[in-house]
Amino acid sequence: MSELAPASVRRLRSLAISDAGFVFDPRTGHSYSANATALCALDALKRDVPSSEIAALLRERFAADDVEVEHDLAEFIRALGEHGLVQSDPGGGSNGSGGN
Amino acid sequence: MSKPRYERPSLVRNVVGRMNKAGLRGGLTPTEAVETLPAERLVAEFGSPLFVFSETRLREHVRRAREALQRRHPDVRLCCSYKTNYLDAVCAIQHDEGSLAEVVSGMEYEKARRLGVPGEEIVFNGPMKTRDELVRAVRENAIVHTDSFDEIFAIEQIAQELGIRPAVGLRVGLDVGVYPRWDRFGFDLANGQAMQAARRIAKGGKLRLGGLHTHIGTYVLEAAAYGRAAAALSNFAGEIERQLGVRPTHLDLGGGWASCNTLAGQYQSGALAPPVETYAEAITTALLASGEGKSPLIRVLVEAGRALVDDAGTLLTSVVSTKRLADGRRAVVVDAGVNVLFTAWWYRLNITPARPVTGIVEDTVVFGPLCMNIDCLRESVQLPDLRPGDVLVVHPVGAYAFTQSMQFIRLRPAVVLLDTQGRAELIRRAETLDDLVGPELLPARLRRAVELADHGQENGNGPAAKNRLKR
Amino acid sequence: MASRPILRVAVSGLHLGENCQPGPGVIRSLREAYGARIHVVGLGYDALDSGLHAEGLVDDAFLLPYPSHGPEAFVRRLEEIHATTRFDVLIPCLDVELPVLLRVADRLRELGIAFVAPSEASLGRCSKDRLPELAAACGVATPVTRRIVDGAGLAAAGRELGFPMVVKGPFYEADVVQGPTEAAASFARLAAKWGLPLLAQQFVAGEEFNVIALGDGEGGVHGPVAMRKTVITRLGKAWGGVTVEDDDLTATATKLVAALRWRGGCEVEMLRARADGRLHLIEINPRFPAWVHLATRAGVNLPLGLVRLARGERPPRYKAPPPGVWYVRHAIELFGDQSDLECLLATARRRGAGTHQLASDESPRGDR
Ligand SMILES: Cc1ncc(COP(=O)(O)O)c(C=O)c1O
Repeated sequence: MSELAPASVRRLRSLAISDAGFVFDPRTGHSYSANATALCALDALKRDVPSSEIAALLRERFAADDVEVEHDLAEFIRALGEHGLVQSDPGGGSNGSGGN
Repeated sequence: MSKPRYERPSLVRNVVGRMNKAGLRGGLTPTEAVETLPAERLVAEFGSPLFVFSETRLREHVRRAREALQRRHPDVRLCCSYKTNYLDAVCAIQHDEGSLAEVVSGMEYEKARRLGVPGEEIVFNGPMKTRDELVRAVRENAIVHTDSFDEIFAIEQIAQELGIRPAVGLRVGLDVGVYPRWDRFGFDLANGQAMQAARRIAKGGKLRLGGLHTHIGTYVLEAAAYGRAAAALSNFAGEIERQLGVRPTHLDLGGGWASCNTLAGQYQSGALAPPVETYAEAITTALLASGEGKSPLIRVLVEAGRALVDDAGTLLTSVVSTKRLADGRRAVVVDAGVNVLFTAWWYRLNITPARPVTGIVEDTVVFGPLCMNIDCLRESVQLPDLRPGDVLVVHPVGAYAFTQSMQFIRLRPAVVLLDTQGRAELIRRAETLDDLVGPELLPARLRRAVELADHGQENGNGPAAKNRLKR
Repeated sequence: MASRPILRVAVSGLHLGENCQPGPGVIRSLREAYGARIHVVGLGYDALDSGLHAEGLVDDAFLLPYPSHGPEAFVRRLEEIHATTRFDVLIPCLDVELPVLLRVADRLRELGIAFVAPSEASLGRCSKDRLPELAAACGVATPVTRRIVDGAGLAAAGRELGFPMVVKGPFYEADVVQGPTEAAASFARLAAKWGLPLLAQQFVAGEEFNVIALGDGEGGVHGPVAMRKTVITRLGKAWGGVTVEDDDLTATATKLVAALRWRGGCEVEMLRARADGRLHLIEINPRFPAWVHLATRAGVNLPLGLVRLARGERPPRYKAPPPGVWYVRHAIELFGDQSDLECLLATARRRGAGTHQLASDESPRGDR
């Protein structure tokens, strides 16, 4: 399942993201600090990886036993929507994308 | 190779004026241990939330204050301000260090007596002392500071009835430039009331004049104000001696020295509050310089509460849940709220995580567990990603937090003392329902309803339930 | 590198914005004195503090935690920076840093960092509410000042001092109010922002002059330079000024600074009353003002003197500054790419001096 609308993926691809966790949005001029899991998730989202697979990726890279990674990911994508970095219209599917 | 710790993915916008990682990192050192004991282990052993008091730090503060005063004045005694924290162990440590007791109610008076403090080592202050309390105090030669003429009249009557002539001091109201001015207590010096009260006591024929007391405010950052207060009291003592021919037995400068806590609206950190030595010097210098500094020196009492006790107390609390608020701010709910940290209303309490900080930190609102909108410990504090069960360390909470805590919605938590060997001892167990309902009396006609309700409950057989069912 | 840098100095207060800070003026003065023989470590509080990015201003840039985080966090960060880039002299340029630094003076000394600061006692004596005491002790006029804690006090002050009257916050900000209604509005605003008590001050009509000076802590005062603001911002700050020659003014300022036994740089704000021509003390700021470079250009390089004091040497012998040297501030834009900010945010440090080439290879990439 691919959750992000193509426009959202393009938007994420336009971000300048550094390994240190500095994210610059060329469209708005805002910059952000991202933690390691966010960097990992952003990278995958840009590659249009479905969120169930992103969750698996996060579990693989990080010590994430007993953690609701799917839920956190859905929240993260919602937060991206609030920052205007992905489209948050229902068709964009950025909500309810948790792994249920 | 172990994997890095997982944190919730998070993206925080950089805002001009807050683009400062050094500030975040510098301001956020974890507090992994209280003294030598890991915070997480204390919580695992004694439960959460948990008040933790450090005997070492308490003794250190008391000694420092005592030495600073005694170095400059031969006859100074500290008084343990009971209301600041009347946990038995906390008071007992101060008495062990030689402090008198300073109480402001009959309950506190009894508590001091229970701890073995003799009446003549109890300073009895406050605007309300019942007749019975006064009788006991004058019988036991307590150091009474009266607050009103009505109280003086009441003591005169008691003295007459008992056929004794007790010493009675008075609380003096001063304007030494401290805001807000505590002018509701005692007898104003400037308008002549204080001299009138002294005259009544000294010349009324029923009492003897005791000491002069003042307490100019609380969390007073300007140490010089104590110099002005000491000079004013000392000059007043001289005036009394000249006019009435008696010499007050002591000068009591009260408390109010600032602790290392930070007021909510204050820019600078509370760590910059003047050290006890500065207050001690202001007081003793003024006394030695004033007319009354000449021999023999009048005994001096000091009732500093928060400055001595605040730093010794820490509260450990655990994260219950985390959430995003409607405006996007991160929030955590913890298991201790304003029910046990009333002081969160006026202080910007330090809240730090108990484990090493990784990842990015974010402005976080810290809410307590009460189902009340007002239950907020910090509107904004930099914290890392937290999970339920993570322990947070709140400091300093030694002063007033415990004595002002309430059984509102939740029962009070346990209190441990870390002794000077670094061992943790329980000094107050966590409260149970019995502690709450013990004093209650349910009218018989209402009992059936309770029995019925209990009947339907699986676990209605605890001691509390039995109590209620007893006929 | 032409020669080994000999002075390694760290300077804070680097932002030139609506409210200009003194750091850049201090650094430029030192660069004029030391030429290539200086290494400047810039200490900022925000990645966009302009002085961190100005060309040729700092050689190395670091971020500090805000002083409100307390002395421990502050000194730990300075220790960290010092371990990365040694510096021998620290010149704090912001008021709020002083109380924090005084608390950690011993720790700085242990690191071998010299700094010049007034004692807590002198600092206390020049706080706004205690200025009248100082002025009286020196026989200097000062507007009548009253502490106000409530509406009744405000009204009483209004009756006593008349209008216009000045309502002041305890640390910053003041409003000139024309009547009781304005006074009440100002009181409410300032009280909400700063808490109580506030100050009510008699309004004295006249012309304002500022004097910059360096005290040696023993009552010695070096190189007072007097200035009149010629361009004033909406916040009441100097944006331009001209040196003036007025012996009475400099002598009065010197008397005050000496009485404080001030150690370090300071600025005395005075006002010459239109009515009687008398000088009134308005305020004393516990650091060099942002216009410190004007004094340097008038031949009185006080930051140089401060560094000498810090090193236990005597400040140079300053000649009396000529009147008529003027300055006007000229704001220019600084440029950079995101990598500068990234670097400061991720590591709280940016190596190397000011503005650089855009599109350096370290800039954050777009799609990889
Ligand atoms: C009479 C008296 N003494 C001492 C104290 C202790 O005050 P603090 O804890 O501010 O030192 C108080 C507190 O209100 C007081 O009322």
